[in-house]
Amino acid sequence: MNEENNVTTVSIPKALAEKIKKRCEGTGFNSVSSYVTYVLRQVLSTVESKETTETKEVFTEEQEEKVKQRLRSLGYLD
Amino acid sequence: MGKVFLFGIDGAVPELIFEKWRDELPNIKRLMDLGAYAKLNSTIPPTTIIAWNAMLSGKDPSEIGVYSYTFKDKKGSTKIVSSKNVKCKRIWDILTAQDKRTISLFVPLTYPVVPLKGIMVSDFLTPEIDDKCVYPIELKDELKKLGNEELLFDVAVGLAGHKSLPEGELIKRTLEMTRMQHQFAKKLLINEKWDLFLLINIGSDRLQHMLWRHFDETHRRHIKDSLFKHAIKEYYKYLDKQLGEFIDKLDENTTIIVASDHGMIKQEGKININNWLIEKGYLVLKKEYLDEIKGKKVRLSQENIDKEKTIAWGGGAYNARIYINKEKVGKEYGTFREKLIRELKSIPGSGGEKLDTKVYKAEEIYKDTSHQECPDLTIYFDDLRWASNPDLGQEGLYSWETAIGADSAGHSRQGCFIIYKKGMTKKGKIQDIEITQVMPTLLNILGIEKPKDIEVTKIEGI
Repeated sequence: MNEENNVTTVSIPKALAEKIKKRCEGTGFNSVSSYVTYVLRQVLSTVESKETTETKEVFTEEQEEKVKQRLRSLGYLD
Repeated sequence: MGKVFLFGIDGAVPELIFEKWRDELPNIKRLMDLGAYAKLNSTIPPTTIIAWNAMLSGKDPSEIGVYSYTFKDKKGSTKIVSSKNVKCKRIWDILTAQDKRTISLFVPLTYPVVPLKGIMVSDFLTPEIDDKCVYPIELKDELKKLGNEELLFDVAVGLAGHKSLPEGELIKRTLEMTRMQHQFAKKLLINEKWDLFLLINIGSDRLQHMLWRHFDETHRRHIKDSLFKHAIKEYYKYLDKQLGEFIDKLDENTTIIVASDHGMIKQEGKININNWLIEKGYLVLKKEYLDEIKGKKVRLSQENIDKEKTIAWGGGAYNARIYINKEKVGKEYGTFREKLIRELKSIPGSGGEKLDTKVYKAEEIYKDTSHQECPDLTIYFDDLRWASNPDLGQEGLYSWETAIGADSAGHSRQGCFIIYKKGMTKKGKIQDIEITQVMPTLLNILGIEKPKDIEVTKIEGI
């Protein structure tokens, strides 16, 4: 079964659903569900890519140790 | 609109610059005579990387996102902070968006450098000359040509590279580092266009930490008639002469600022904060760890704390930081914290004398106290005359040095601020300023509207 057919239901406020329904008109989205799925994918992809950048190591292990030693020698590391 | 040249002297002490050595520093004296100067209240705590960034962002440490030199990553490992930890906009970010050009040299917490309109060379947390220490990268070769790559960013090389250095060698290294940095800076000052020029000198901090007792006759470990009695003053004089050479190259419409991030104060000794917490029964170490460290001097790491039984543990190399185990104290948090503050304030000096200890609660320092690195209490033992030693394995409550050697001075709460600008009317000694006020003052001189999220106001009349 492909991903698009393997679905579940989430609840959103009716007023929000109405707003989305209006927004869908003339945009190529044929349902509130497809619009919401698209938006959520966009948001998740942005967040995930940000996390990947943030967790990317600044220092190599060797560099990290070098700077740590410098800081210890300065008395700045506890 | 105006241009600004900011000459930073890390740890420059108001009492030394404004009073004791004023007449021997002719260029600084001239700026003070013609301009305005004030004592500058540093951040709490007065840590170099936090204070310079508060000065250049107008933000408090929690908004900057940096609490000390290390942080715990998502896996729980202790990592060195870098420019990636900084959450707020710094002055060059704002200037870049306004199409103004910044040259930022050796400003703490700029490694890895970020693209900006202008030029940036990173700070003493730079591991080596690499692709991340300079923007634009084309200038990397220029840095390499300066002579000694190992000393370009700091004088401390390796664990045994600073506190165990003979004094003469430390001075030699400091001068060599400063010479290289200034050689590079002078070239850019003349050849490049800029609106804001930032040059931070770290050498003063390094020498003062190590050589204070050679000149301060009131220091308990003062060395009488030391060969290095005048070393700190001579370095200030050297910086003053250099400053004069920079000033000669500026046009008369450039505002000149000389500033420090914090001051310096003689260090009486260190209080073994975790020994104290253990003795009080607040800190309990895992049994197997206790056996392992018997007779050894070691750093406390969180993995070795018995969190089931521990109420509080300590850190901090100069000021002390205390973290309270909130899960353990639960609803008693407020009561326990007050009790702890009273007890910390009653810790006496090694001769039984009363100390003027200051204790700050998280919410008194930080706008946002939710970060896991945010300490519950920050302690200035005897207003920073006593440092904190979080190591284990020292006997008793007091120690004079750690395994890596002793320093004889630590950071104090007030630094210097001197400003000269053509046509200024407010002159002479002015009221103390907050370090964060420098940012809106700089923006104002540069003709940039203060962003709404910077709450602090500029220095009055400047």
